[in-house]
Amino acid sequence: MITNQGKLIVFEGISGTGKETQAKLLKEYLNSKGIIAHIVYHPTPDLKNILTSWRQTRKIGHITEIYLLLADRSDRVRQVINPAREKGEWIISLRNSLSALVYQAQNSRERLWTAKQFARFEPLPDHLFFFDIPPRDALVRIKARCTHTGEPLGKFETLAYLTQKSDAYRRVLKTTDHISLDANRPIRSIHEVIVTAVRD
Amino acid sequence: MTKRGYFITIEGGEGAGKSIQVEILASHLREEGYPIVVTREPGGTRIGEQIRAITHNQENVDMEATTEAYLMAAARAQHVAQIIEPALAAGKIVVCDRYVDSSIAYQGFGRKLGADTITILNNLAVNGAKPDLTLLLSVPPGIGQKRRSKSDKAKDRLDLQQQDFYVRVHEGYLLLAKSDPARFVVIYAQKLIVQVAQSIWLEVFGRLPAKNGKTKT
Repeated sequence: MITNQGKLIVFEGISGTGKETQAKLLKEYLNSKGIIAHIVYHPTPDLKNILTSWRQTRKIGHITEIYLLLADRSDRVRQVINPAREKGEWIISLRNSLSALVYQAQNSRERLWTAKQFARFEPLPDHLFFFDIPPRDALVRIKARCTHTGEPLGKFETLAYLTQKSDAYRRVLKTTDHISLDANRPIRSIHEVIVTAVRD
Repeated sequence: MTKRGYFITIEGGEGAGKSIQVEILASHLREEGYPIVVTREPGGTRIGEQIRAITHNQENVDMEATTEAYLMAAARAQHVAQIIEPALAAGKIVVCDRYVDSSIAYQGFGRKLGADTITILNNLAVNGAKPDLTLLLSVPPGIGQKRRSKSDKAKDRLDLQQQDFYVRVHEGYLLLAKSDPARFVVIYAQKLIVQVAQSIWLEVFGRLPAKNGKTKT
């Protein structure tokens, strides 16, 4: 199951679908099999903070966001993802370029341009998992998380927004190899599906 | 868009005297009663200034060229959407110190990423806001460098790169000018500041649209 080059696993989907929980479980599983694995976030937490702040105070434009995501990801690919994979280590990426196509790009011209730019440097994932859930259920889970952690709801966390983005995911996934996961299933059973897929 | 102003960019290598010429041109335009907006890249917006601080920081000297190109374009996208397009839509004259041609010259030619690559990379940021007139202040690279080292501006990261880099930038600019003669005017900037300013004004004044529907005198 281990090749010389470490695998790149990507988890995608709207927020509130349990991507981070599954990333941690997969990392533990890989570690138990003697594989070094890293969880990377897209955008990086540094950029996420900047975007959150500039959306509130600076009227940042959606095209500016696309470029910052490209800069952030190209740096992360060069500094972390490629070197780790060359050493045979695995990367579990919470989101990848697909998110920019769903959240930032506003029409087919922008989506095409954005996809082409990311394709210049971002390696194709060995496995892309899409965490599928009805937006209403996602919102319930997000609200529960916010109550638990005390963090406020984000810009993308309203029912209308989640529905719109859920539809957008379906559109871009039509042309992307992926495995769809029913994110309403129990945590352990989702984990089993993921492990079976990556073990091939 | 029915009402559109006039978009002028000033380009050139280090030490070509762009800043002072932008100031002089702006004051001429104001005297003539044109509504103008003077701006610069990288920067021009608060987001742009913050990005500029990252790309010009000495600690980031190992930043990869592609990452830098995306950061510069991020600042430009914000600049176009927030400053340039609204000003042009309001019928103003926009004078911008550096624009896309700087990215093509510095990153495309200087850092060898390729002129086409950088042009395409910037397409989304520019969003159709193409300059009507680009004034290229041209001085041989060695002389520009000497001028810059005499000035009191602190040396930043971009100043510390090697000489052949500046030669590539210089030649890249001239190639760009040659490829789009309808937009570019090359101004030989080795002359006195007032002489350069006069050359610029002659080029600009002849091309300006009429003010408020009146013909120029």
